[in-house]
Amino acid sequence: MDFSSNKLRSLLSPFFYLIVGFILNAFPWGNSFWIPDFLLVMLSFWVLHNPDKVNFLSAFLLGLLMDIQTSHFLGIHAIIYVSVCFVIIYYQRKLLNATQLGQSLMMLLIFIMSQFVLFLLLYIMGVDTKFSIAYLLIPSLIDTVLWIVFKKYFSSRIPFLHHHQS
Amino acid sequence: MLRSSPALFNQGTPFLKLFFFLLLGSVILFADFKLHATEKIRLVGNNFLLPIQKVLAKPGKLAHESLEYFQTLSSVRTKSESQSKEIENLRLMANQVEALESENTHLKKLLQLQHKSSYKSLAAEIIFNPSNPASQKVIVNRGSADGVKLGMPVSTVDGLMGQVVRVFENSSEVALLQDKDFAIPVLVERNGLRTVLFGIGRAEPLELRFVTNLADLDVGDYLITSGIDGTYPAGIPVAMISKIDRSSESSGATISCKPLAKIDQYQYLNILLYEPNLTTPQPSEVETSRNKSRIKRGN
Repeated sequence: MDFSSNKLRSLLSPFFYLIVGFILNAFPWGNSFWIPDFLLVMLSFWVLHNPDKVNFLSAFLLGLLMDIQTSHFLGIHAIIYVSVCFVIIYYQRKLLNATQLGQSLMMLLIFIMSQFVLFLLLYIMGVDTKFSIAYLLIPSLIDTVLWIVFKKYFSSRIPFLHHHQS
Repeated sequence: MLRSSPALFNQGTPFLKLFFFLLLGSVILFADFKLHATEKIRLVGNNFLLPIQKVLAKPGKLAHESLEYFQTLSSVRTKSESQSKEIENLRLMANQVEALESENTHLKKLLQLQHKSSYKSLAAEIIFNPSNPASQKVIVNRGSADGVKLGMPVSTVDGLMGQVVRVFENSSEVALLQDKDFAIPVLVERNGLRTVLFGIGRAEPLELRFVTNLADLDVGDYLITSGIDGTYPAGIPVAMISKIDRSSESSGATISCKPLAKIDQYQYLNILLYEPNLTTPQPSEVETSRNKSRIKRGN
């Protein structure tokens, strides 16, 4: 395929995939604890690989949009996304230099952290919710599997990823 | 825009940006949680998101409907037989109900009691059920434009389902019975015992509180709304007692209940356009205030 044409390039721009992630999240999945956060996976992917375009501001705004969409307390997803964004930028070199397995494990930790921040915020606010380790682990594991899938999908399609990793 | 140099040459870590956005997020969170001052933002966001949500709900609805279509095809004969029997039974019962109702109104006239406030219902469709560990809600496709108001009860064919907790122009949010701290005054259909039913959170059964160990309750008893608080009309079926745990340590029994309305199976529900008629005689002072202090309303 020819990726040099402008049309394809704009189609492949990070924001297109962020919107896809948001729409995947907005599907009526129901209210089960294991439902993964597609947008978070997309967002962390693009923060890692293209921090010039996708960074704190997009994380914050997308978080607010997610809060309205899930009728959560306004700002809770925004704080989660911003903190994930920060951790990824902070450890960007390490993440990019790690092996595939190492990177996935680090991402698993980051996704667990995102779930933990959610429950921590609810705890601080005094909203009494049921908590269990499975609530942290299972969605994060599914997020990590999605991360690996997206990674495979993008690395075969987008040339500049190889450039970054080499 | 925020970040002009390539990541490789970027100096230092963006602590300042992190701090700024976390602060902004906390301010918004506080404004929403404590002051409820962000409804405008929600309103604007919802206007933008509702069309997307409606489109996204279509495939699931189609799948549900086609599944139902094939299921009914396979069992259509047995179903129609049992249903025609049921209809006959219902006809008989309906005749009795009419007679009873006329008798009831006649007796009420004799006693000079006022009529209970009657209500209409509005059919609505569930758009989706947002994933949210802190609350149990569904979004439905009717809003203030259709006459929905805050606090109106919502039910399915089988029983009470919840209450409208947020109203937009063309959609509204309904908190489900399972929502944490959702409370409904109920009475046991069999013997008229009055209690309060509480929701305790996602994927958990409902709980009947403030009942002593000695109370006359059994597994399989039906609970209906008592209508005491004025929010819910009396006599709507709510739940069935599924488990009773009478421990000797504490004075109160732990009673789990299963809601009769199943949210996963229904695409449609009824919003009861019920506005409590406050001129009807209220229960005695003491009882009302005691119940009111016990009932902590969700939202």
